[in-house]
Amino acid sequence: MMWLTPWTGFILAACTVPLLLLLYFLKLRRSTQVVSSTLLWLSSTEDLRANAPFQRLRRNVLLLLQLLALIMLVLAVMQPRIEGAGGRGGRTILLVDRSASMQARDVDGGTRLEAAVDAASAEIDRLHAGGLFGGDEEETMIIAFAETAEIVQPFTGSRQQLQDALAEIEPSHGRSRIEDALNLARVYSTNPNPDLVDRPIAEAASLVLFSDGRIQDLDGLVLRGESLVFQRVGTDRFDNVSVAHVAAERPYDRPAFVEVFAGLANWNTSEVTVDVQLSVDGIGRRVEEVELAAAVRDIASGRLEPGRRNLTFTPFQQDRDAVIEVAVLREDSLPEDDAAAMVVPPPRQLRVGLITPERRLVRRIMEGLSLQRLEVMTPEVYESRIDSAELGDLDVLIFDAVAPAAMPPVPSIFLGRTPPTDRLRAYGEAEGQVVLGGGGDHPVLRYVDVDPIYVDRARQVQGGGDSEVILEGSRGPLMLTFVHEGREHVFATFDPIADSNWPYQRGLGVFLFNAVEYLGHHGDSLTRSQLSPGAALVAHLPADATELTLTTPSGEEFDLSEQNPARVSWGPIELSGLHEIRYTRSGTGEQYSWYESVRLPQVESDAAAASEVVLGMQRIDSTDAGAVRYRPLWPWAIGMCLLILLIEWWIYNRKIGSW
Amino acid sequence: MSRFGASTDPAPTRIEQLLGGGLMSKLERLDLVSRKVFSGKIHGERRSRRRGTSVDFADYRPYSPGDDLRFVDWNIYARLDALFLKLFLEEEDLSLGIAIDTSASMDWGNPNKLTYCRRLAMALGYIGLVNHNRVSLHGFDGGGVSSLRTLRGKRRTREMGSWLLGLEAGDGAAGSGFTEAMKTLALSRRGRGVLIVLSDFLEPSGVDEGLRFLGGRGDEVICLQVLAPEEVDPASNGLTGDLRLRDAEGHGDVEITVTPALLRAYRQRLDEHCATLRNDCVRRGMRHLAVHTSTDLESVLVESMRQGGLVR
Repeated sequence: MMWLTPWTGFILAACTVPLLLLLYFLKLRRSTQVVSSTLLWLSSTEDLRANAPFQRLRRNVLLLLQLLALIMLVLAVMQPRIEGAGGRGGRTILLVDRSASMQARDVDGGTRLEAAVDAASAEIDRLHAGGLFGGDEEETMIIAFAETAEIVQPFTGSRQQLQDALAEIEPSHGRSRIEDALNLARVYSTNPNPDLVDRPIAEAASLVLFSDGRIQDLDGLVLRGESLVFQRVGTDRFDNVSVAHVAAERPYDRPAFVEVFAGLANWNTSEVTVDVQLSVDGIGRRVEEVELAAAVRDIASGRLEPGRRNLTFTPFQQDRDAVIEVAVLREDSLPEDDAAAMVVPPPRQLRVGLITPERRLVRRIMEGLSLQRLEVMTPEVYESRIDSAELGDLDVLIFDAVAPAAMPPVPSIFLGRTPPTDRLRAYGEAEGQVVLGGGGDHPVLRYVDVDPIYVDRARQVQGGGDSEVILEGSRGPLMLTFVHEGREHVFATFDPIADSNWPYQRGLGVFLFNAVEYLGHHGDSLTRSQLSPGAALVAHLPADATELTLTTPSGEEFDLSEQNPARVSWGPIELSGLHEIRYTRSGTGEQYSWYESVRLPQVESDAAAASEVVLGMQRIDSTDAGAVRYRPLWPWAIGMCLLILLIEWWIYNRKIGSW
Repeated sequence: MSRFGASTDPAPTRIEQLLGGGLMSKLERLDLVSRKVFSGKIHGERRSRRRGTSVDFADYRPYSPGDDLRFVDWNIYARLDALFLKLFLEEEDLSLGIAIDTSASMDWGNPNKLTYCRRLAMALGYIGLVNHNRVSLHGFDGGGVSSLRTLRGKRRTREMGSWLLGLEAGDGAAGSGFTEAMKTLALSRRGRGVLIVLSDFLEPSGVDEGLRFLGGRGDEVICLQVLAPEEVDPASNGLTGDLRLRDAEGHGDVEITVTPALLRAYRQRLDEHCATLRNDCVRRGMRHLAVHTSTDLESVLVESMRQGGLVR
């Protein structure tokens, strides 16, 4: 027998039973009997007066019956269940968790997902056992869920169909989110089959959850009349060290080199020492021994805070694109998070156009940068070449205290003049400003000390919805980014040379370098944020790309040739790791590959199986998965309670002489 | 379901209901036993302290002038040449008093204690009348003593029965007033004889003082303690649960929960109460007999009282 909500029952009993006894002490209803003399009774009770309160309660049938009824009520609240064979002639929905943490191998003989599938299979066998004790007509539905939920098998009474559907559940590396699964279950519970008109429209189904309990979206979810049984898969004895993140960049002064950073997390409650391997295109380059602190359970939130360690590998030469992988060389319960990869593009030097009215400072700064080409032109020359293809080859344009007649076709930096775009609304000028906020958070202002900047005069503008203020002045934005026709631009509302003290500080050069790098390399792998399972994979390939084929980390291939190469999308992503799109350029006939690295969500690395799930205020204890079918006993308890109350009422009326 | 202690039989309204014909014929063969010898008022059937005219020889005494010459023993005169008179025992009547407790506590029980006492008094009185004794009946409670005095002869039976039928239980508020009633009774009785007191003797202030008044008068007192079955064994007669017991004579309420422990304590108290009454009676030369109203009246008179030496 198991209890779904034992503590609720205990609390109820603790509140009501003493109250009932107290009421009996305070107000014991006595019937009056006339006797010839109370002389002998008076002296008899004097001997027993010392323990009189307890004498009152003894042999009091009404009180005993009321206590019994109360106990039955408390038992009903505790929701007892017993193991029973066969179905009840109702409908059951099996919810199978296939999230990343279900790939943990802390179950004998395989992953948690395999154990969950086995348990669900046994549950199906039990529900659809057939025979005399096999239960009444039973219908079962299977829903698998991770980031999203999908119906693996709608309601059916066929055991074979259910078993076949169960075998098709594939693992996912996404997070575990049950809300969609519950919504689907509700939809199908209330409208199971429009053809079955004799069936009630709203019949609550029994839910059986096969999961390790590491579900991310339990907060805010409640059960609406459904009964849920949580069959836990996995154990809380869990060993895991994960690669939390990996990043790489090419040093500014050595673009042929790659510097790799990795973050490691130890989810064990003891210190561990691991070997971490750096691989480039699948070939190991370095192995470093790393000591990781133990994980600590945060008392307030209950979350496990892993022992973290950041690791920086010595820069190595890599003058072409490469797949960088950082892996922990240690066997643990969840191998899926033991490695993380990313794609490093080949080094690329930028081509920058500077439109300036013969001012030297910006030009000198730009000449100092390592650029492939710097083209300096006056505003007149720029306007005359606006339609030429040569201008289109440039990666970034800088408008030094000038504004073009129309928005340029490449990402641009506008210094002191409002760009001609409807994304910004200029409404005046402000004088005498200091910096209030912003700065280091944005890549454009990284390593720039903005506090000493004083702005004598600046344009007052208001950005649109896709603009972002990256430097806030005392009387309005001093610098912001905005997007025009899909390209991002940077706009300094003041002329740094003429209207501020910035030229006398080191930060102006750093700012121009950051801005050019940010706009020039925007969209490269190094600057893209890594995707997680559940997201859609989007690739912008050359227009002449053909024969597009996507290969997932599991080796499965998908033909994407029907899609427009300019925007190839596929999803939702199920697995973490490298996704490769191979394509052929029709012009040259050469084959190319495009990579996307998908990262395992870090929350799934904390995968010790939970002993309970809490939905709203309802705490549901786990039962270890093992094909156990539970029948609720609370209706029997309620029935017993009513029967006892009936008997109590009859006895009461007999006592007071109504009957 | 009847109330605890309430009588299921109606109160008697006719004399025949007090004393049936069958029992009456059996009682005519019985007589009260008096351990003491009392002086009577008129000639009767019971030996008197006085010398009289019965056939039983008692003693001799010297002749003195004026004596009846019919009682001179001439054989003695012939031998001793002296005149002696033969003395014979005198037989006179006996004074029998029957006092009935009519307090509210007696109007209780199934069978009702007061009804039972009326029938018992009727039977005892009939024995007295049959044996030419002077029979007096008294009813007492907290309100005082009422009496029916000096009945003699069998033909006064109906009068005695009517008086007993008219005997009503006292008001509960008045209590039994046992001591005062016994004092009044002792002072109002004329002559000495046998006094039978029918009561439950459940007096909160005790009955010892009242018995002292009765014993001081020289009567032969017989205390018949009448108890109802509900008093002897309350649990078997329907007393269960949580109760507030109300005293029939207004001596206050007692809240009880009937438990085996309480029943044991009650039984012990009842035994102690009876034993105390018996000791008080013995100490004062009185006789005591406990009677349960569930016992058949004939059985009480013919067996219990005969075995106790109260009748023969």
